[in-house]
Amino acid sequence: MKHLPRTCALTAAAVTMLSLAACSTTDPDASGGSGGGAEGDVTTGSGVTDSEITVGMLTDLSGPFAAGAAVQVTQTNAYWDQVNADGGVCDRDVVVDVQDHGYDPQRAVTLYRSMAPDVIALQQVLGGPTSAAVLPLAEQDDVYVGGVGWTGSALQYENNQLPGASYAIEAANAVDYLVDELGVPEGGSIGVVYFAGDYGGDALAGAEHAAEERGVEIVAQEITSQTTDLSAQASALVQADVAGVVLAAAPTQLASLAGVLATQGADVPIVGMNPTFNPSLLGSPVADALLANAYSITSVAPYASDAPGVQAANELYASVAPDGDLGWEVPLAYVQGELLRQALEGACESGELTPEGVVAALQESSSVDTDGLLPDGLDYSQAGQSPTTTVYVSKVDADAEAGLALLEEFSGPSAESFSYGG
Amino acid sequence: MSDLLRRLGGLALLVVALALPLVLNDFWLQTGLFVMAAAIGAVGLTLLVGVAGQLSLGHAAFAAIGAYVYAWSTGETTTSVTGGGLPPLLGLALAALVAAGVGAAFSPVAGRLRGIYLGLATLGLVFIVRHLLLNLTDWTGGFTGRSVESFALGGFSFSNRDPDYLAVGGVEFEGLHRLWYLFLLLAVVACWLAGNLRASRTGRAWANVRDSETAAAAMGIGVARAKAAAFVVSSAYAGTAGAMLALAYGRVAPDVFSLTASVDFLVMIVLGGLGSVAGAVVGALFVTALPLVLAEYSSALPFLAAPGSGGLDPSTASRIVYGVAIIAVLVFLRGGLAGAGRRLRHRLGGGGPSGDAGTTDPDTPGPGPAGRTAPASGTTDPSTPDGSHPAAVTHPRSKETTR
Repeated sequence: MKHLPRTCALTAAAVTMLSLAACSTTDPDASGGSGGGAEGDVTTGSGVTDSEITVGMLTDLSGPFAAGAAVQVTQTNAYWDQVNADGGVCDRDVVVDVQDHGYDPQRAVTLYRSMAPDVIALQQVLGGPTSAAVLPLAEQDDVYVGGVGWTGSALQYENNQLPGASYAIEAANAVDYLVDELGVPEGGSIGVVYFAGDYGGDALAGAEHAAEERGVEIVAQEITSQTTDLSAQASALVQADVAGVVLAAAPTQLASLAGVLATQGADVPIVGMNPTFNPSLLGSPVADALLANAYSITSVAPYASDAPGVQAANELYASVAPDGDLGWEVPLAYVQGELLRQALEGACESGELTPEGVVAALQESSSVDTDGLLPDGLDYSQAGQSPTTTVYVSKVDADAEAGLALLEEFSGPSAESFSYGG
Repeated sequence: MSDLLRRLGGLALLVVALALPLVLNDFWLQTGLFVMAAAIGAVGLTLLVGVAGQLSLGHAAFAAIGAYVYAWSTGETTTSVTGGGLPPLLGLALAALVAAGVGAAFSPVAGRLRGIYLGLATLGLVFIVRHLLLNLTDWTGGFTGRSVESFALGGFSFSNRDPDYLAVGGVEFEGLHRLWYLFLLLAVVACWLAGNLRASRTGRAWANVRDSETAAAAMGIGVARAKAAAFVVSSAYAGTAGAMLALAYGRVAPDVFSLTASVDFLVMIVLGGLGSVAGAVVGALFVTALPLVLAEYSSALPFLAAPGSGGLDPSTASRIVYGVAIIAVLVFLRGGLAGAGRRLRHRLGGGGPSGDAGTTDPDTPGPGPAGRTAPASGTTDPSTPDGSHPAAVTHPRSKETTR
C-alpha cells in the first residue's frame, strides 16, 4: 500500500466534492407555506390525519411511580374513549400513544424524539428528572406538554400547562390557612418539612414568602425521599414549639411525622401538599393521629368533592376499573385530558390544528373552567406565573371516599401576593 | 494482510457511520448520540480498569464534572445561574481538562489503594459530586439542572439554527444530524488515541503495573506515576463523555450522573472485554441502546405486553436481557465480546476484520493463546517484540486485576 496517501487524498477529495454538491441551504418548503394537506379550513400538522389526532403520554409504568401512573393511563384512555364516543375533537378521533420511560431521563428523551413527529401534543410527561429533560426539547419544537407536576420551575416553559396551582402557591396557602383557620398566632412558628429538590424547594419558597407576610417564623427541616423515620425532625419541631407543620414530602413521611408528633404529645395540625396523602394510610397504626391533625392541600379537587366534573371523573373510572385504586390520580388524569381537549378545540377553532396551534391556543386561554375539577378561571396567558391562587383544603376523614373530605376552596392573601421571579 | 483487511473493514464501517444520518430517523440519531457519548466514557474506563487495573466506581462523577464544566463555561449568566460565556470548543476542552485535573487531585488516593478499596474510595466521589451539584445552585441550577448551549464552531451551530436550513442529498440536516458528525469525530479520535496509548510504552507500563507492581518497579517503571497517569487520562475521557452527554440532552441534571451510571460504565467494559477499546465501544452500544430500542419497538415484539397492562413490559424485559447477557458473557465468553471475537478470528484462520468494531480499534493484539484471555486479565499482550519497550515481562498468567 505505498500509494495509500495518494488514494486517500483522492478519495477524500471526491467525497468532499460529492457532499458539497449535495449540500443546500435553501429550504424548498420555505415559501411553500405550511406542511401537511389542508382539510377543510383547518391546517394540520404532526399527529393529525383526516380521521385521527394522536396525543402522546410519556409515563412511568415500571419505575417508582408505576402504581399511580397505571391509574392515570386507565383513566386517560377512558376519558378519550368517552370524548370519541361523543364525536371526538375537530371531527376526529383522539388516539393516545402511551410510552413507558421507567423514570429514566435518557429513555424519556429518545422516546420523545421518536414520538414527536407523530403526536400533536404530550398530555403527560411524568416525573421530575424526566420532564426536566423533555420540556426544553418540546419547547424548541413548540409542542404542548401537560401533566409534569406542579413545580414552579416548569412554569418557565411557555408550552407547559400546569393543572392548577403550583407548589409555592399551595405552601403559601397552607401557611395562610394555618394562621387564619387553625390558630397559629402571629409571632408563632410553623415547621416546614420538605424534600430536597424542585418540589420541596418550591414549596419552601412559597412558605417563606407567606411567613414574611403573616409575621410568623419558619422552622425548615430538609429531608430526602430516603428519609422514612422523621423522629429527629419531629423532635426539632417540638423543641422549636411549632404551632403547625407544612409537609412537602410523600405518604411515608406523613405517616412517620404524624406518628412521632403524636407520641411526643405535640397536638399540632399537619398540612400536606398534593402527593402527601394516600388512602392506604388510614389502614396503618397512625390512622388516629392522621384523623386528628392531618390536612391536605391539593391543586386538583379531591376524589370526594361533589363538583359535577369530579363526579363525572369518578363515575367514568368506576365504569372502566371497578376494582381500581382510588385516589387523587383519578380526577387528575381526567382534568389533564379535559385541559388538553380544550386546547385542541381552541387550535381547531383558530384553524391551526398543529402542535404550534395547540401551544398558541394554550397561551391565549385566560379563563379556563373545568366543572369544578380545578378552580375556575385558570389563567394561562401569564407566562411564568401560576395559573391560579386557589387550592382545595381537605381534612383526612375516615368516612370520606379516598379518605379526604373537602373543607373549602381557599385562596389566602399571601398566595395572592406571591409571584415567581419577584 | 490481516492488517490491511482490518483497515479496509474499518474504513467501510466509517463510511457507513458517515452515511447513516442520511437514512436514520430522530429516534435512532438520538440513540446514536447517547451511544457515542457512552462509548468515549467506556473507553476511558477500560484504560483505567482493564489496562491499568484500577477499579473505579466514580466514573459518573468525572462525567458529571465534564458536563457541568461545559454547561457553565459556555452558558450565559441568567437570573438563576451564572455562566462563563466562553466559546463551545474551549468549553469542551475545559470539560476534559478540569475532569483530568480533578482526577489528578484524586490520584494520590488512587495510588495508595487497590482493588475493592479503591472502588469504595471512588464511590465516595459520586456522592460528593452529587451533593455539590445539588447545592452549588448558582453554578449548577440545583436539582432541576441547567440548560446547555448548543455546540458551535465559527458561526456554524450544531443545532436547528444557524444555518436554519441545511440539507445534504435532499435530507434536512437538523441539530441531531450535525451533532452526529461532531460526536463521530470525537469518538474516532478518542478510540484511535486510546488504541495507540494502550499499545505504546505508557500502556505497556500500565499493564505491567497491573500485573505486578514489584516487577514493574524492578523494570524501572514509576509505579505511582503510572497509576496517576492512568487516572488522569481516564478522567479526561469521562469529562469529554460528560460534555457530550450534556450536548445530547440539551440539559444537565444531577440525576443523569448517579451511581447507576457508574455501574453502567463498568458493565459496558466487562461485557466488551476488559482492556479492549473495541469491546468498550460494543459494550456501550449494547448497554445504552438495548433499553431504548426495546422500549421503542415493544409493540412489534409479540411476547411483550403493552406498558401498564400488567404483563412483561419492555422496561422489565430489557432489564432481564441485560442481566442475562452479563451472566452469559461472564460464564461463557472469557475476555468478553472482544475475547470472543478474537478467538473467532483465530479459528477462522487468523485473518478478517472483527466486523462489528474494527473501525475503532486499530490495535487489537493478534490472537493469543486462548488460555491467556481470562476475563480480568484484559487483552494487553505485553510480549509484543519491540526492542525499545521495557515491557518484556511475560507472565504465564496475569494476576487478578482487582485484588
